[in-house]
Amino acid sequence: MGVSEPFITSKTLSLVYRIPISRIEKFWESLKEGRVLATRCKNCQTLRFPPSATCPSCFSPDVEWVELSGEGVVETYTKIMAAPASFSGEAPYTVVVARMKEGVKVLAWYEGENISIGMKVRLLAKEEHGSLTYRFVPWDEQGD
Amino acid sequence: MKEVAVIGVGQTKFGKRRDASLSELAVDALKDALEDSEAEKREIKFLSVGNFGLSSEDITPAALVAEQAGLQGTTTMRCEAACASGSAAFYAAWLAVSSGIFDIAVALGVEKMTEVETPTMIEILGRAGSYFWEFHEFGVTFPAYYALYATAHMNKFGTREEDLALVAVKNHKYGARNPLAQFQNEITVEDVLSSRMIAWPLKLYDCCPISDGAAAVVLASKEKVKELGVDTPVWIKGIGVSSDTSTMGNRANFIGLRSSIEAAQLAYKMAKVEAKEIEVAEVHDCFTIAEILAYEDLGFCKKGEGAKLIREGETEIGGRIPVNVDGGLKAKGHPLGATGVSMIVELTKQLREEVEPSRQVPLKKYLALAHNVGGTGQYCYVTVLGR
Ligand SMILES: [Zn+2]
Repeated sequence: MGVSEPFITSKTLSLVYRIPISRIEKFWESLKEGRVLATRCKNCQTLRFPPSATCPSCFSPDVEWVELSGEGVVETYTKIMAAPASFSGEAPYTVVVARMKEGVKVLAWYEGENISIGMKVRLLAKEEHGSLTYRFVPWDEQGD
Repeated sequence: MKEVAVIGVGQTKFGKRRDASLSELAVDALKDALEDSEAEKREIKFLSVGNFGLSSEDITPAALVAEQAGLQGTTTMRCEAACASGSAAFYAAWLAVSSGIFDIAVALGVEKMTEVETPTMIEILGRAGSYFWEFHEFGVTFPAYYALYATAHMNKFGTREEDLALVAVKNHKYGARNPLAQFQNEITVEDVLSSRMIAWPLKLYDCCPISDGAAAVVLASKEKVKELGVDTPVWIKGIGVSSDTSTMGNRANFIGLRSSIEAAQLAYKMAKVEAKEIEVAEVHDCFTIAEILAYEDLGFCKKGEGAKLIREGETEIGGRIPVNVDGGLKAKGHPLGATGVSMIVELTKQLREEVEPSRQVPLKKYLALAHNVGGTGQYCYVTVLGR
């Protein structure tokens, strides 16, 4: 069972997926305008993040877009030191799950010095390396 | 519903198995399980194969394994439930026999994780959640998902990094007594605390290794057990399965796994036993925090008292409920699809009092529990076994 066991190298399989976003495209359009949206079911009022074009509770397709206020409280966090291959060079980065004032939770990177559970954070839409995303920052920061 | 027994078990050594392919490892385990049972190969008409996949070349392994085992013509399929894929296969085989459709079934778990480079494997594991919203955007790794739980548990209950380290120390201690375990060395709390930080507060020695391996079990109905004259059948007394959100952000809390709590309650109810009656357990310790959560979620102690349980040595042999005395995922290794089946292999041997004497748990009621988590509680399977 040593490392010098004979082997044959397989053919290369390159996997890149085209992930459809047609049904929730408004989420990215709004990020561009600096807003982070969730969806709310008009039938049963379920608020949903990540957004969903069909309500997971009642299957109603009648959902509306709701802007999140951006006010959240840290529920838990971790600082990633060992990054996966596709994030090499990015580490360390801090991942936070915060409960937003509206009730939904959001997982995103946190850009700031100190972090602790129960701390108030602000959720901001952001453009980074030409792509749209969202981040937590300390509450008293207004963002770019 | 028919009563079902485990009548044969087999497992390969876990570790870097560069000497064998996926189907070769699978057949090694299957052959051992069949030899351990009173059944004949020609009687096997159902074979479920637990395999997470992606890290080895064959993406449809069930038919290949069946062919290599000379079992073409059997009812077969791959079962996938992330790190609980082996338990999914075990569950399928149990359903096959308990339903009365088959009187014998084989559940096999196999994984080859070292055929790809380690960073590729980390990439694959990180995707075992909500790819789009959590991996693609934020590069959340598998250790990081559990670290979210560790942080919350430490904050709420005062669990310390030293307590997490004790889990690794215990599991290495027993791994060193299990010839099938990947790691055969004991470690200290200091070794764990000084190891490289992976995702705070989890360090390298808080994490299970990347492993290759296979395990197989033969199941039979009560009628078949009688017909074959099986000496020491191990009965499946209860099985519970539950699930939780794929997206971490949508979890109700980070201090316990909902799927573990629910699966355990279902299994105890079916088995008509209470947590305190269990005498030996295999729990899913992919990361040290996961074992602490399991103590609490399975009812071995109250919520928040998991650290106290390990600190007081209650989960060692001689303690109230010995846990992972084969080394657990941490030291035995965690070849994803093989793990759930391997837990049944170990507990069957414990209940037959056949393991190495230095790690045999003394038994009175002969009740054992296996707890296998897929992902970060996306799936959970709990099985109660007894003599
Ligand atoms: Zn609805």
